[in-house]
Amino acid sequence: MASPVRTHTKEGAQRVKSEVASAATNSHRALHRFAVVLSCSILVLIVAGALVTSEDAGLSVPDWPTSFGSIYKIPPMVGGIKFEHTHRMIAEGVGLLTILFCVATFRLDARRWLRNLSLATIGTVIAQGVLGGLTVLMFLPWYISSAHAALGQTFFALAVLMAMYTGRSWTQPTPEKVPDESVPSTRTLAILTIVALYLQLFFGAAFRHSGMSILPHLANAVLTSAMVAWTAIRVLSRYGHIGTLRRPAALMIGLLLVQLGFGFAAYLTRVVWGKNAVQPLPSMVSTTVAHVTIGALLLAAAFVLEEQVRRHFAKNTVDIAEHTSAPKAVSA
Amino acid sequence: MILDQKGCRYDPHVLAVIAGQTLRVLNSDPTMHNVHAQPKGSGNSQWNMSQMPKGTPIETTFNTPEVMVPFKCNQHPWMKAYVNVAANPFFAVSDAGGNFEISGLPPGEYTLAAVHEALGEQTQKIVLGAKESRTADFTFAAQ
Repeated sequence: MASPVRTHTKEGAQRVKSEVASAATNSHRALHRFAVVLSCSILVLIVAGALVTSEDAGLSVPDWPTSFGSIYKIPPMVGGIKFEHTHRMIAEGVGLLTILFCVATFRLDARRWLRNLSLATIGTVIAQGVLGGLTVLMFLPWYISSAHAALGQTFFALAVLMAMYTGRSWTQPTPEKVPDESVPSTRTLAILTIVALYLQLFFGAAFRHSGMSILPHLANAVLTSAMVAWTAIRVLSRYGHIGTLRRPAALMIGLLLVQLGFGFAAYLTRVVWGKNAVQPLPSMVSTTVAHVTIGALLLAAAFVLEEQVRRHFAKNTVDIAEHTSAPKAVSA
Repeated sequence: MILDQKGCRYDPHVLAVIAGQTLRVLNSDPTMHNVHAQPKGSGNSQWNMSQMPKGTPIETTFNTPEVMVPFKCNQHPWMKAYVNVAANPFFAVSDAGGNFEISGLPPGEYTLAAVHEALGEQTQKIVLGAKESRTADFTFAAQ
């Protein structure tokens, strides 16, 4: 009689193990979907923010944190108010989503570093809100508005990274380790690309907010394009067989081409043709907003590639295991 | 002096006040505006206030003389006006034909400046005797 009992116990243990694994997978999938929703909502927020600047509506609501003296009343959505107040309402929703995402991460995922990262996203959205408020109260100083623009895209990149960290490509397969003996290393290239993109983001935002001329943005576009192309081509040519490296690299090349096109269109419509426009024209607004949005996507793709490079080029298996440990099960 | 908002335009587009003189900003429109004054001089402060449709007038003063202080409405980005804050009453805003007249100047040597919002500033030296009139012409090249 002992043997069947042992068999039953073994089967039971396997079933429990299977249920736990299934629960872990389901909770993990839910967290991943939440991160994707959060990322998409931040991208919508970036579009709304770009519209505020492009429509020259930054101070159409003169107070903050209230809007025309009220926290909850929706003002008449006329003129620039519809852009500014819509941006604020979306920001409030994104802030709430970020807090809920952080709570969900603590409940559904055992990785401490991921929990800390979710806390960092809350810190980022709070800092972003404060910067947005300060720029209203201080009448749009270019350095605060530019910091607001740069932090917004960083926030988006963080959310995209969270979506990747909770995704199947990061948690399930054992990463294929590849040698990287090139000089400079692929990781170095990936990091330098992010630095170049940040410089480009800063120069572009400073130009948009009248802090400097367009020349630094134009000059750095050459450097940034070269860095993006160098990094992506390096990855595609040497590690193209690894899907998690190939996809962000290919995406970066595609986004770079689109971004250069929108950048040129924004330059023509805003700087050349729209120099004496008495108000923002639809052509200026659409090209500039698209340029900002594609820039945010490109920065996020660069972060994703850098993280995947770090993962695949990890020095030892402990590093890899630490970053790919499975999320905990939470079902009863 | 009165700066009105009518038909989503500032009326007049350019005006002048003496430092310390009260400027009343009206909203005659059936829609909301915000009035955003952007002085750069050290003695004047930037401010931005919303004004309800046909709402209470905003009364303000500028303490320090400053040429061409931009006013704008951020809700309607085409709405722009310029308020000049003068140190004395010897100024004029040209009419639609570009004509102006400054009267009551005591005899003396003066620098007369003409300013345009897009075409910049030009100056002329003027020497004026007692009970004397002078004509000064300024020509701004189109850009």
